[in-house]
Amino acid sequence: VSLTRQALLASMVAACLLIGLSAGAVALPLSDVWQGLWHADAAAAPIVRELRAPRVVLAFLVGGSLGMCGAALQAMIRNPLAEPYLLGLSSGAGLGAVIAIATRAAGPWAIPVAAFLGAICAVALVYRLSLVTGRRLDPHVLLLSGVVVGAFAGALMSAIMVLSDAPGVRNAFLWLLGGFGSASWQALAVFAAYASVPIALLLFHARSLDLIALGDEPAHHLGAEVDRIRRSVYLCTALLTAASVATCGIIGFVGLVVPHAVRTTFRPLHRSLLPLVFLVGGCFLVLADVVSRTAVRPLELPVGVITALIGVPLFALLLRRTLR
Amino acid sequence: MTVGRGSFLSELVDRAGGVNLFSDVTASSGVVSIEAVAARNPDLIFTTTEEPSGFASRPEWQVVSAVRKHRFLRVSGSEFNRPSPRAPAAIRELAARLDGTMP
Repeated sequence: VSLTRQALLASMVAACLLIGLSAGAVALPLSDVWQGLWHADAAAAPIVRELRAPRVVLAFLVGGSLGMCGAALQAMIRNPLAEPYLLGLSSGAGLGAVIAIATRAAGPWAIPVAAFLGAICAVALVYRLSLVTGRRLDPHVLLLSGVVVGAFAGALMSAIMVLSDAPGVRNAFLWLLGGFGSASWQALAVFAAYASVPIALLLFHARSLDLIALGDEPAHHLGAEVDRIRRSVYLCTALLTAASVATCGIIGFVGLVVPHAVRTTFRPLHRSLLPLVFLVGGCFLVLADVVSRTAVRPLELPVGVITALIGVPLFALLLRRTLR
Repeated sequence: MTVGRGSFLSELVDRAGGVNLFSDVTASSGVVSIEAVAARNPDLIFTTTEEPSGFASRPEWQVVSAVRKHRFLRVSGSEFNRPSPRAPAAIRELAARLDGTMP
């Protein structure tokens, strides 16, 4: 990535973050945002510092993580339609989180662990189901299994929400639609703690992803330990998806839209694809959250609604292209 | 989560002489952000749960001045959450308590 592109990317990220800080239930002019950020006694300081700053940073990190999950999964199954939501990981993580809340095992640190277990179970089940047709993994069968496992986990989630009398479960219904309404510095700390290791590991695997994208056989001959990397990548994506779902609910299609946009504009190898996808994914989700906060003021739309409205048409387009 | 114009609770508050700050929400209930609550700056926040302290102690809620000053009005869920023959009594009780708490 050249220097001008780096400058362009940096200014895009800065612009998105500033838009995120200034938009909301009450639109703040940029001068107020600036005052609020640097002066604790400014009128806008509580709103900018306690509400918007954690929300915008969390949306950025979650968007980046979901984008990276999508890009990594797409390299794994060599198909641009792979994505944590479509592969059932998000719903598995959601089910884990809801079980944790319903059994009152909750606490901000326990929910991501339960979500992680849910995501791992979902990914194992999806993988097992898609091997039924034969020894070779067909990406379209894998996607179909993902959708089915996702629907099953969604049904169990709804059942638990209706049957449980734990106080947090009604709120669970709200955040499972996906949204950053409950963002806080604490939520951000929890997310960062769970997400930093898998993000670093995925970046570390980026070179091997380029090899695996060529095919298992050539990757093996070029010195990649395919099975070990594959296990590690699935674990990382499950952990990242779980951290996202546990802090802000199920948000689909970010992992589909963002890698596609980055590939068509930059055509990079995975080494630079993953960092690019992280930045662009962050910007994408920050802007989607801005729309969710401002489209129907004073109400908030779940941000998952907006990402799905953008993601589903793109999915249809990509599906036509891969089947041709 | 707040109640909108169409809800029973909103009508109760109206009849007791109060104003529901989210009466521009036409649905019976909706999700709003903490920021939207802060912008409308309520005098009082109604709760039907045992203790509002669960969210009242969270740092992000301190933006709302009614939360900072701990101005909560606890109402009984069975009386206020559904239309019933006890509604007139609920309105009288609410009107009296509003008179008592408003500055």
